[in-house]
Amino acid sequence: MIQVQDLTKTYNGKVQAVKGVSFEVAPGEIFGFLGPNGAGKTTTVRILSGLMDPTSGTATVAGAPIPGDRQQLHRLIGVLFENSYLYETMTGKELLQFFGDLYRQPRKLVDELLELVEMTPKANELIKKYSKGMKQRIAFARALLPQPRVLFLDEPTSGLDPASAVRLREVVRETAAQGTTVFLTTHNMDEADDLCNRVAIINEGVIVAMDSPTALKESFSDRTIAIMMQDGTNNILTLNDPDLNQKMAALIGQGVVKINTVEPSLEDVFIRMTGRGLQ
Amino acid sequence: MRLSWRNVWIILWSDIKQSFRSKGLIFFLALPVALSLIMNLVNRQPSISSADVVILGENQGQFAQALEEIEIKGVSLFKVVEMSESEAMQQLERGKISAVIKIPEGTSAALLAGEQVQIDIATDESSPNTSVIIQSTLREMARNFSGIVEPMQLNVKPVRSINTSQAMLPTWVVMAIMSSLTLLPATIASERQLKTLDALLITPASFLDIVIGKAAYGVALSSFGSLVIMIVNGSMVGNLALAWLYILMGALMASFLGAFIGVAVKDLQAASAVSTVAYIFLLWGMWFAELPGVIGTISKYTPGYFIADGVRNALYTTAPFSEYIIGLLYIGAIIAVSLLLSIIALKRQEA
Ligand SMILES: Nc1ncnc2c1ncn2[C@@H]1O[C@H](COP(=O)(O)OP(=O)(O)OP(=O)(O)O)[C@@H](O)[C@H]1O
Ligand SMILES: [Mg+2]
Repeated sequence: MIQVQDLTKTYNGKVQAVKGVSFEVAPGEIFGFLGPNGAGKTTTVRILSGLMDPTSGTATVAGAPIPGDRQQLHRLIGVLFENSYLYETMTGKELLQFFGDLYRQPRKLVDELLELVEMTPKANELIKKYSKGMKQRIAFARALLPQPRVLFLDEPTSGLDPASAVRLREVVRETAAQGTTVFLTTHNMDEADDLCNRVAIINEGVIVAMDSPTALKESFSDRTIAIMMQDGTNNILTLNDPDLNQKMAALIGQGVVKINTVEPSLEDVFIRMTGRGLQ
Repeated sequence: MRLSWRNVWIILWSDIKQSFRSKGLIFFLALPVALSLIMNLVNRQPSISSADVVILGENQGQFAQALEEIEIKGVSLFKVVEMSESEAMQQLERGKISAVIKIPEGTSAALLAGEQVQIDIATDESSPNTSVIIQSTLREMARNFSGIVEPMQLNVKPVRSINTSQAMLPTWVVMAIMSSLTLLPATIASERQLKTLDALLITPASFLDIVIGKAAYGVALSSFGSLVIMIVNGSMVGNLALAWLYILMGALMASFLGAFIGVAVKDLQAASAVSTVAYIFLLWGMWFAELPGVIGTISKYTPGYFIADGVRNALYTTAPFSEYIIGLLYIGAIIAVSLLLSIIALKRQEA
């Protein structure tokens, strides 16, 4: 559904934001694009949604070539922008109706989407009176308005409270289940782990790892266990330690409270791959 | 770049619906309306002005020369000029002069001989005081000249020319028309800055649809402002079709120029600055056209002057259509150039 080949983007002939990324996303897949600030995530989304041309490289999104006919592409995709600004002098409903008209969608769909993002009670209030999370929900509904084949979500849950974030992830999952391909960027590793079938980790414009979250965690596992003793101390043992059996036996004799396997989180993988924590 | 009129309409209609919620915009339109009303009230009081009087006919005679020497507050009241009668009457009709006096050959000699003379005079009755002063000054001079009590029979032809508020009205209309010149660059540039433009650009609407939609909004706004000014000042008179042709062409000019600035200048502050300069540049001529010398002459070639003068003549005079052709062609040319510039700027954006 998305094929990307050797995509690069250099801003003003100086800043190399994307340095040759290639990947494919299958229909109905939720693909996560993870990376620290300035890694090139938003740049990639803007290229794939036809807002700017790549410096080199090609892509196809839902069959539409990039670079190519933007109007063809724009009938097939929905985009939730990072920090989406909305027309503040409109109500939520007016905004969706306006964009719905441009997409030639029936008014009924607007009501359904308002219901879906749980904004029906506030639909007739001016957007300037909305909280950040309410605006984000309207922006999300707008991204769904074209009933897209490919949905781009640039940090969809930033600014949402935990309950709203959970609700939004549910909707993303439902949308994907109905066949929409989802390309999502996030800083939230738990979200990526929970939602994505596959993730790519991008750092300084280069993809440094790409696989399913489980496989990534697996490959970074150093296979350790933590053994907690009665006196409250912790002993860490590696599973491929040749003296493992003896050490275990010794510890058990001293009174063990709990044995845990230590699995790396996606966050650990991320930090190791990018050489830095989340900023 | 394809143009979809349906998208243009959707964008235009959405902007129109929102404009009632924009306080800045209401102020922009309310300003010329309020100014026009205030001027209208202030000008209710009749005033005496030392307006020019044109003398035709025996203009080398002693009587004419004596008249020329009369001054009010250091300014000559009567001016002897070489001008055809029809031209002089047209100037009178437009309020550029206060009276036209025709002194037949032999008048000076007749007066000096103590004979009664007949003089035709056309005066502007929209300032009656000035008219009375001109007539009595004329009689007084004739008395001095001839020494008899009733030396002169005046055939007065009253002409109603436009008064000051009528003369000013087109300038308020042009201010309203030009409001879209400053508004459009600001809206387009701020959509770009706030990134609301991105959301529009990923819909099936093209950038051309968006820009034409915004320009159409500018035309609607300019025309609405002009309409309000004309209604509240009671100026729905004269050749309205011609006046509205001017207003619509002015609105198109302001909107396309505004759209061009909005597309070409990406930064919001820079776009506002450029549009303010363009606004002043297009407008200043209509305020300074009456000044003597080079400034007055140059002023008469600015678009603001052409539109204001065209609207004024259409509403209050019976000037023949041929008088409007140059102005209309001139504004049409600016519209064509700004449309062309907008399209070039749009093409450069796409690349
Ligand atoms: N319009 C622009 N002009 C010049 N440089 C830009 C522009 N937009 C982005 N960049 C640069 O490109 C690089 C990648 O930016 P991008 O916005 O794609 O990062 P990101 O991964 O989305 O980061 P974040 O997580 O902070 O949103 C950065 O170095 C940034 O400074
Ligand atoms: Mg980003």
